[in-house]
Amino acid sequence: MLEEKIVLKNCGKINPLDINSYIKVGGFSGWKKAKEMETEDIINEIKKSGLRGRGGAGFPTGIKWELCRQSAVSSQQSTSYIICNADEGEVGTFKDRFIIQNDPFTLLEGIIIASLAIGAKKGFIYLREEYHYLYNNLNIAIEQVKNSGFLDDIDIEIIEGAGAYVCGEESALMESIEGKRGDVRFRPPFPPERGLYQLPTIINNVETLMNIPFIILQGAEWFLKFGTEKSKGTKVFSVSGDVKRPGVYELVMGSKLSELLNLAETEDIKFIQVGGASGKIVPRDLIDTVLSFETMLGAGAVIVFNERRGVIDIAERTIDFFQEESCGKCTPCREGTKIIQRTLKKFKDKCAQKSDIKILEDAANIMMIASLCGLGQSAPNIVLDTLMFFKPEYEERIL
Amino acid sequence: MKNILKILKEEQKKEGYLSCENLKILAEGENLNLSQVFDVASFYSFIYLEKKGKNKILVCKSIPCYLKGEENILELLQNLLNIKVGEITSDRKFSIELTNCIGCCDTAPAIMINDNVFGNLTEKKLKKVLEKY
Repeated sequence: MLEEKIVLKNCGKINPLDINSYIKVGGFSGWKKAKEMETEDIINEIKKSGLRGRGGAGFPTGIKWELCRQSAVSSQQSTSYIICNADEGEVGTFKDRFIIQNDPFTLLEGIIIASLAIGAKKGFIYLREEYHYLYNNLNIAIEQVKNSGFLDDIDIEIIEGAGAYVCGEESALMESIEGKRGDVRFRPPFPPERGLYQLPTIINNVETLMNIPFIILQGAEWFLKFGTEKSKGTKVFSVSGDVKRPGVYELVMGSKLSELLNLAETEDIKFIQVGGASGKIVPRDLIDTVLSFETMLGAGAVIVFNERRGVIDIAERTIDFFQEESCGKCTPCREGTKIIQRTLKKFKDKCAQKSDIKILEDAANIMMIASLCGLGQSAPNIVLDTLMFFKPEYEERIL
Repeated sequence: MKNILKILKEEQKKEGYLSCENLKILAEGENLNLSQVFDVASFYSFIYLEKKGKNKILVCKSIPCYLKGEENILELLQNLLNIKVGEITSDRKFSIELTNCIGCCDTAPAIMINDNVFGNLTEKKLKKVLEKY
């Protein structure tokens, strides 16, 4: 497989502070085409393309839009919302930052087309507080888009977070926009039915929306040429850790992890974490693993660990992170992260007992089954995966 | 429904943090329940309930930065400023906090000072950065 530029096509080629440079490379042609289309046709084109959410969950974008449109029509709601999730908080992820820094215009065009599809008059970009330094330039881009007449149908506002990982989860994100604690909501109802302020809402990741103008302009058939059966298009990866060239890489879906690692230039590898803190562990022997929704992907964070890295140390740091960021609403996640944290510390201090492995496994399994949201469901991945691939490192720390 | 987070952020701009007294006055003025206000305030790590330095230094402790020597940077920083994490320098110029991933893993190890990011930190670069403040 090869590097393929769809999402990052304009990055480095346009001036992110000048809309004319974007229009010169064909910017807003997708929007022009969408304006001439029936809303159903826009939704159908996205459905047909097989585009799935790039924030990690991989839900089919077109279906999300269709559900929102339907629920707005059936509930006779004249108001619906589109939210762009730019709360990129997953450990090791920085692709959305790179995109906003380099090409805010494609993103805005994507949001505008999405708003046409669902009939939203108001759009929000939920930008994490840690990215406050992107705020001004993004606002300049919005102003330019507005002054050029592309924002006549919708108003776009940037809402900043306040430092909470869980707010990247869609229901917590909406709570945060409403000014409340970022507590996860019980679902159903899902956002397309009752989302922001209980109104029909779609929430799409930055990278997902970046694909929209290109799909509309070049058609679903074109997009279907890239990727695997269930993962169409490309994926933007953020590569960090023990590599020579950390950075953002865009590859066709279905590329091998080893191909990505070649681009980022690795020396020695012990294991790789695909999908950030909540992701899966891949030992060196399995680096030919394919990257797709069918296998593993997450939001595309790839962290590389060399031979000198201790598995327990990394697992402990990862669980510390989740314990800190758990919103505390559901018991499995709130207590499970604490139990795992306590138990891992025993392994770190080399005073664990044999039964502690079972304690880790039990806590992890309960969290995966019973947690309310993706945070608690995926937090134990690091424990179960390292136990699977590196059990001796645990066992040698048993008294 | 009032947007509590928005109100808190606006208020925090004044002193850089929100004291208990602040929250009480805010709740009364906005006709909100104090526990409701505290509930939101205590949830977000960028809402500060204690006084911080004029310049807030946030050291990223997430794994990509850790792999690239976050601990050394933190130790150096603590020594240079003669304070520990959670403390403020005697001239109130700086405070140090730890933070989770700030999305600068490609330039790890990285820190934030107020809204600015400084990456690829070495001893030399860190000293230079601090001089700017």
